[in-house]
Amino acid sequence: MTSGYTSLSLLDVGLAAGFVVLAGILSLLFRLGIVKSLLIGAVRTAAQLGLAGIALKTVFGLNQFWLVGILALAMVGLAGREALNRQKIRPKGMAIDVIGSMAVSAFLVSILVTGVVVGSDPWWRPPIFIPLLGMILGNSLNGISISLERFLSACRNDRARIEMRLSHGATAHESIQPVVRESLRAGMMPIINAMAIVGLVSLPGMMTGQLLAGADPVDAVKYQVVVMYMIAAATTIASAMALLLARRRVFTSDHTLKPGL
Amino acid sequence: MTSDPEQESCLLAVDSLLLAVEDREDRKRILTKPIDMRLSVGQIIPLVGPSGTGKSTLLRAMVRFHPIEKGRILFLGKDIHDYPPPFLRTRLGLMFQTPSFTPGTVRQTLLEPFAYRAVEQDAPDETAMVDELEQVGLPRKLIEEDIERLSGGEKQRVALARLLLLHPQVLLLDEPTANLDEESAELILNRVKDWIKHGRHAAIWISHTRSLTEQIAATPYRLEAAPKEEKADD
Repeated sequence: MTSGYTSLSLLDVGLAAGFVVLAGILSLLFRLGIVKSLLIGAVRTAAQLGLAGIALKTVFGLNQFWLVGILALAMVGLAGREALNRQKIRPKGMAIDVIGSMAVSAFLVSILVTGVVVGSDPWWRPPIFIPLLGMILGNSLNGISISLERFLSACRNDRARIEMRLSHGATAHESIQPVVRESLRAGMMPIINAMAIVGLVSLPGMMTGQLLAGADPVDAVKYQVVVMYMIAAATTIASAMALLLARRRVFTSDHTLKPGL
Repeated sequence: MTSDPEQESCLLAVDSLLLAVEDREDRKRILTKPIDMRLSVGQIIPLVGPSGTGKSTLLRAMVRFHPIEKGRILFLGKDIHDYPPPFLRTRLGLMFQTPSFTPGTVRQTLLEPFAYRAVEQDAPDETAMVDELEQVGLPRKLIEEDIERLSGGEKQRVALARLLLLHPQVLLLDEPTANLDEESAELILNRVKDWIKHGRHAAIWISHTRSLTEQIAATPYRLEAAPKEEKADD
């Protein structure tokens, strides 16, 4: 770490809790009825991040491949579950599709970035691999959720149009191609927008963190650019894979949309 | 070749067919008494029967949108399951009560199916498209129009033109004129009747009103509800 790094004591963090108290007083004054939620949120923030910190410290300290592997798989599983929970319509077997596409895209991109771009040795060095994987998962989770949501609700609401194409001799794939395209586009929009405005409106969290930790701004910028590109790639791969797999789930072998989607 | 002339002219044959739908608890309910039906070249059969007897389901089963519970359906003497579904659907043209369109112009609407692999014919040229539109009483300039700007009756006529440009052999019409103005309904009926006369064509037409049924053809085919299942003594 460079010299500009200022460590925080627990007391410093406790002082920051005063801000939450201030927010609590304001919400009491305005009778928002959310003081309880605010407190629970504040406690969860400290507890969850505390646990994450302990886990990371352990994993970083032990520096064992198998431990990194277990943590990475758990992260993929949790991200996949969250992406599924956001779906109103869930055809059978979709959990495997979602977790599978997340795993493939996240591991592919994060291993390429740590091994080739960053060139860390070994590629799974925890302080680099784990945060990168986390960022990839968080973002591709968003992409997959939006894509699948768009896709599955179109299968329900656009049924007549899909059947119209089937009735004219379209195969299952041909009949749903416009829907797949539209859904993938929707899933990619957030990262495309983010790339367009990054640095203009606000600095991304990762870069801010690096700057606070005293890193050289040029270095921080380079990392942030890599991260944006990596997120764009991972989000696209994960959403496209999830869509192609979900496409098989909504048709029967007769080139017909399954009933009751 | 010594083939039976009656079999020669038979386009669609339905043998002891049972259709079922699944209710909310995944229990199957048989819709009709067994269906036996022959559709021959030049014929147009009005399909009638109380609601819930599966008239639409029967048409959907013919193009494999709906599974068959028992019995079989033959197209040109061959079981419909022996055809790839996309190809079968280019031969048996299904027309819905409410037409659907991909956003675009009338021209794009008419051309859309010709991008599918199962549609082996070349896309129709401008003359063929305009000609088909005029046959359902639509002016040639309409081809440039955005499909969504058309009236319900015009849309349904475009849908019929789109279907006929694919040169199907049989039309399966699911109450295509139910929601239409009289003029559009008449234009569609006349076009279908005219189409039947030219080429080895035939059609089945679901009809709810007696007057329409009489206009379509002399003898309708009536679907009858399956007898209610008897309750077990328990």
